[in-house]
Order: sequence, then C-alpha cells, then structure tokens
Amino acid sequence: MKFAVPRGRLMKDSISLLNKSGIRIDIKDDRKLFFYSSENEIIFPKPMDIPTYVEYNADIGICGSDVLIENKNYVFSPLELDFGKCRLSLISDKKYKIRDLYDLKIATRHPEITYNYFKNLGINVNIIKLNGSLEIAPLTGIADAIVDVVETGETLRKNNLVEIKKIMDISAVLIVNRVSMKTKYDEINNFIDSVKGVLYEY
Amino acid sequence: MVILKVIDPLLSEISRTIRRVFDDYNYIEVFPPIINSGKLNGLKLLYNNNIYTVDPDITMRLLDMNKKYFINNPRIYYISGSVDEYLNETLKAGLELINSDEFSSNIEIIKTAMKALEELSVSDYNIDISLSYLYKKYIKNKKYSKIMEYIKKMDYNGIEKMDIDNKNEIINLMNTRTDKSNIEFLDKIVKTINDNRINIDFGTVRYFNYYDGLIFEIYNSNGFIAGGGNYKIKNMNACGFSFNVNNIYNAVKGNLTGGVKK
Repeated sequence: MKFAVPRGRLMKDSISLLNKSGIRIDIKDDRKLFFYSSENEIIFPKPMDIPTYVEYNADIGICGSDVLIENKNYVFSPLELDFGKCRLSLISDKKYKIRDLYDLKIATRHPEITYNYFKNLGINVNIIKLNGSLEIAPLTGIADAIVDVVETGETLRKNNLVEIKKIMDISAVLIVNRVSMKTKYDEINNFIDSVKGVLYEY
Repeated sequence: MVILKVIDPLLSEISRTIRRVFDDYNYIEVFPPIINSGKLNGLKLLYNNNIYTVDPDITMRLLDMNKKYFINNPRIYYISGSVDEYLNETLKAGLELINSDEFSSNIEIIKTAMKALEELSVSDYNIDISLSYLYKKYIKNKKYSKIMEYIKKMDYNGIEKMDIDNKNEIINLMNTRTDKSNIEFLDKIVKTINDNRINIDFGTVRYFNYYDGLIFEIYNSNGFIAGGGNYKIKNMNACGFSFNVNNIYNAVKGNLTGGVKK
C-alpha cells in the first residue's frame, strides 16, 4: 500500500502510529520525500497536500481534520486519531467582539473554513490567504484578525495576541482513497483494525 | 485547475464508440444548455446582477424539458464537458432512461455501460451496486442526513459519537461486500447481469437525497469510471449514469496497471 505521511508537526506521531500498526518506517534521511518499506511505499507531502495525494494517488494518509475540511477532497475518513489535538481560532491583537469584524480583513491559511464560519454568522469579512507566520498579519496591519491553529497559546502570548473565539477542535485523522477502499478492501480494513487496536489498546 | 485537451484523436475515437453504443441501444443524443438561470447545483456565475449556474446537473436540465417528450423518447444521452467549483474540467458521457419499469431499466443501463466498455476494450473494472434507501430503516428521520454524511465518509468516529441505536448494525452494513445479500432486488440484478465483476457493496453511497432505488459505481484500480442510479422525476421512474471519459481515456491508453481484486 502507499501511505502519505505529513511532514511537520504530525510527522513524528504519524510514524509512531504506523510502526505500532505494523507498517515499518525507519527514516535514516528525513530529507527524502519517499521510500519503500517491505511491500509499502511511503511519501511525505506537505500537510495541506495530504488529502489531494490520497484522493489521486496514495491509499492511506494522515492529516489534520482542519485540512480535510478545508480541502473538501473526495476521500474516506474512517478514524479520528489520538494526536494532533489543537483548535482553530479567531485571533487578533485587539479584543474585538465578532460583530466588530464586519467588513474587516481576516488573514488565514483556511479560507474555506473562515468563509463558511463568518457566512453562517451573517458577517461579511474580507479574507486574505496567507501561507504561514500568520501572527505577523495583525501586528503589521495587513489584516485586522487571523484564523489560525492554536496548540498551547504560547506563540499568541509572545506576540501579544488574544484568542477571540474557538472555531473548531482539530485532531489528526486517518484518511483512505475511495477507490483503494474497494480494490484493496481486505488490506485496508486489516490496517484500520490494527490502528483501532493501537488507539483503543484491544 | 485542469483544462481538457481540445484535440486528441484517441478522445475522438472514445466518444465516437460511446455514441455508437448509445445509438445502438436507441438513445437519442440531446444537447442540454450549458448555463441555466437560478440557484441550481453547479458552478455559480454572477452576470448583470443575476445568478446563473454553469453546467447544472442533468436532472435539473431534464426538469426544463416537457414531460410529454419522454413518452415518445424515453432514452436520451449527452456528451459534454463538465466543470466543478474549482474549475476542473472533465468530459462526461451520460444517459438517462425515463418513464420505464424500474428493474428492467436498471438492468438496461448497466448492460449499456458494460457494452460501451467492452467496445472500448476496457475489461479491468468492477461494478458495485447498492440501494439508496438501505440505511433508512436504521435511522430516525431527523438524524438521517447527518448519519448518511458519516456513512458516505466512512467516518466510524462520527457514527460512534451519535446518540442512536443500531450503531453496530450500521457499521456492519457499511462493511458488507457480497454477491448475495438476501435483498431480492439486488440479488436479482446480480443474477440477471451474471458477470463476476458485479458486487453488492453496502458501503457504496451516492447522493442519498437524490437517488431512489439502485445506485452503482464502476471503477478500476486507478479511479471511478462511471456512477449512476435510479431516481424519480416528475412522478416518473428514471435512471441513468455518466461515464468519466477522462478516466476511460486513461484505461484505454493502457496507463492502468494491476487488476481489480474481488
């Protein structure tokens, strides 16, 4: 099977889960973006690209639930995993009430989720797509607030930012290619059972 | 953004073959409008302060056609480009069989799809069938859409978190693949088609608010080739499917490797 494992903050826990579930991954050079292990192929795309790789190429992947919702890829998501727990929040350097943000600028790596969040509240905002270091956006004035992932809140405190509102909880999720689920039915279901065994310690 | 190749002899040959098979089965080619006014499903376009839908789905197009048309011409087909909200284009070839007996029309469209694939020398595929309303008896009405979304994503955690009875039955059903289901309608379809590439797969879920009856998907190891099912329109029974011609193109070109496991 082909596995898509995210680089970055979910990488270590993802590899650990796969190893415990019987997929041996022994990385000797973490700059390599793909390698073979026994009968399996492992690729390491950027976290935001994992659902796309799983939709079109890999059999199984691990990504944040926020990435899955943001990208809206046509994949199965059978299991929520026990790591990568954090939240997506609305953040600013000022203590805005949400209604105060009407017509203001919101910077985010999650434009789809942000758009739907404000649309459901009936608040029009101008969304600016950025790819990282979002904390700088309100401090430099290119946006009035940001929607970003918060783990401990330490980065926010260091940059004098406040969390206005939590938008959603995030967790790592296991995702599966819809065609592979049919064509490699037994292998994939056996793997899912192994992961469940690790998660719930059968 | 994926844009279709405009000139390609193989693509021409594939569409010609599909047309020939659909013609042989007495389907009449129709040319539905690319743009409809109003808020239909499809890519939205704002022009002169009016909302239009680019590439509305075929059922919406059919609603614009006169019911009397289908009494004389129950079989129609179309070959057209399709674009999603991310501006990715695919070429679709679909047919609809309207105002006909449910079982025999369901058999007919599956056989038509198989004949077209045979003519294109595509044999490495499977067909999964199920029923659109299979889960209804396990789920109370107000939670139906939410749970069906979880089933569609095969989201076991989502189902586990719901306050419902029958969780185990639902999860077991999602994982059921068989060639004999004890559901007379499906077993009869398998028996009538009589081909070892056809499976009953209760994990197959397609547009559960739209289809009413049979649903099916044709796929191979590299992607979905076709999908369709039975539905009701203007108080008539109807069924149809569409080919993803781009994926057929890849299959014909011999880009696919490996077989499909039963």
